[in-house]
Amino acid sequence: MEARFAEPSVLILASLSSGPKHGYALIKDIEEMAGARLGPGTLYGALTRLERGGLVEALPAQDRRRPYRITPAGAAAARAYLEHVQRVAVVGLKRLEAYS
Amino acid sequence: MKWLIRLYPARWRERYGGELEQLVRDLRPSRSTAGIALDLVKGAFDVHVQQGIGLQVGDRKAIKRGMVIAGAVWLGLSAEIFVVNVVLPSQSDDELLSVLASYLCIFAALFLTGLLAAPADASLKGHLLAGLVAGSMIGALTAATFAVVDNVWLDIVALQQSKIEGFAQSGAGSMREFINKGLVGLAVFLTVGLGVGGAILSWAGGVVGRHGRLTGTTVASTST
Repeated sequence: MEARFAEPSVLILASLSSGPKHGYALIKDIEEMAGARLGPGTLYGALTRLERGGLVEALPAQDRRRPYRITPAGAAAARAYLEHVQRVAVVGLKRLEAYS
Repeated sequence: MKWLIRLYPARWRERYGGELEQLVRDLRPSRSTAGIALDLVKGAFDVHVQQGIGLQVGDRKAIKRGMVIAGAVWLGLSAEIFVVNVVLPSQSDDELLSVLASYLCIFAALFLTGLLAAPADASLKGHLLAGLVAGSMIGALTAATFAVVDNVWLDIVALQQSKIEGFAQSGAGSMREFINKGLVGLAVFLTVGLGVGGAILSWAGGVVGRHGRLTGTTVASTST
């Protein structure tokens, strides 16, 4: 069974935590970081949602490539989500150890 | 690929279209065209859903009202289907009147959907969508009711003359198989047919509703 790693929004926020990136740089970084190949439609669907929610903000465009930056609210949301996932992972792995 | 970006809402394209086009250009050498195309279609659908398919408040209200009407009509039809097929089953084919009455009720309900959409200030798109959703809902749910009734009470339904004759000519292996094959066609016919009919009737109801409002306003202003 192939597990879905995480939803695109979390991957985008995690990627932007290391600095502003435009669409192509985001896709490449996420591929390297999580092994997930996001498509352009998926990326921009998630970016629209994140920008509307105030979790990322657009910077001035360079040519036709516009970089995005994570906001303090975005960083807090990503941290809260990832800490929750981490807690679940720790407990889950402990239980799996006992199971095997 | 540019034409696929046109699937996105116009206002969204103004803001993100250029960037997305550039990203597609950057990705083309390393990704399959089909994969990118599929993802763009998925993304366009996602953005439309995020923006409520460009619907105004009045349109959404009209669609919700249409869904409530469709639910009520379906409950009534289900009761009628249950009574006619299970409680008081008739082995002869004299159901013409009840079928005609059912269709008239459905058409009236779809017309009412448009009529009620007018006071909600729904746009033309809102009227059409409200009728489409209500009609498709009635069609799909009614087909589901037939599927339940025909399969659960097969021993009663199978005694209908039309079913016996149809089964004899069908070459199907069993009465259940014959009935279920027919139900697939019925489901498609009812869902698509009532969806399209619903859009037209709702539009007509909207025209009458708006005309009534205008006449009412004119009468009110001349009498004051």
